[in-house]
Amino acid sequence: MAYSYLTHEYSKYPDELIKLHKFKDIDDSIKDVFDEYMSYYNEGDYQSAIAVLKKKGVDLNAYTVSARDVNTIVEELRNAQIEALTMQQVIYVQETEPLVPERCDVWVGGA
Amino acid sequence: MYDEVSKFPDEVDDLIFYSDTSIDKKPIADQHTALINEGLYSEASQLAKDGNLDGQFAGLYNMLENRILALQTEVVGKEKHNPHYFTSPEPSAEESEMWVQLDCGIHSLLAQYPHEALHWYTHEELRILF
Repeated sequence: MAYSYLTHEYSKYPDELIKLHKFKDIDDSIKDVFDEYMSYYNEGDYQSAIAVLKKKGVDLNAYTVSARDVNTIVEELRNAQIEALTMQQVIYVQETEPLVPERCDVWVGGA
Repeated sequence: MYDEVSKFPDEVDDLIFYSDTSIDKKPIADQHTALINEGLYSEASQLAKDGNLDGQFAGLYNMLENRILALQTEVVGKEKHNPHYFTSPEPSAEESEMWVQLDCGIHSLLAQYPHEALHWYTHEELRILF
């Protein structure tokens, strides 16, 4: 089994826990801002679309799920799985040195 | 629709079945799209919840993130369990833990010989020989 490394492209786990986005569905409270944003967006006037959000102080990140958000979820989950696997001592019985033995793991072999 | 709050570690979270729009859900999906197109966002959101419509809704992602947070919190707070002791003096091991004594004189001597040269002997005979 190849050892799986923690990765930190999007996730900082275990140094930091996942940051919750607190996603929201668009509802009537943001309707006017969203409609104005979309009208500019559909016309291809992205500068004005962004300006509407800034002017109204709306963070669109809570209302949209980007590829970055999905990648973050996947990496956070994967890092948690790796961390869970290293919670118990591992005995490596193999000729080659383990790639990333954790503290107190044991390697038997390599003669 | 989804229980956004994670029950972990008190319980394992329920499996969800995320579905593409099925034939029986199509009328709800169509109605949902129509409400969105009319700008009736709150009604659309409520319809999706009431009709158990699966989609890219906030509740799905909040549920996933909350489950990950619960798992990470549980794991990061645990200490590594080391059930194997490789020491010379006997450790204070708990039941079901294992001790491999290091620096044992006989073991060092036997390690010079290949397995083929020793496998006819019992452990006790080897102890007498050496």
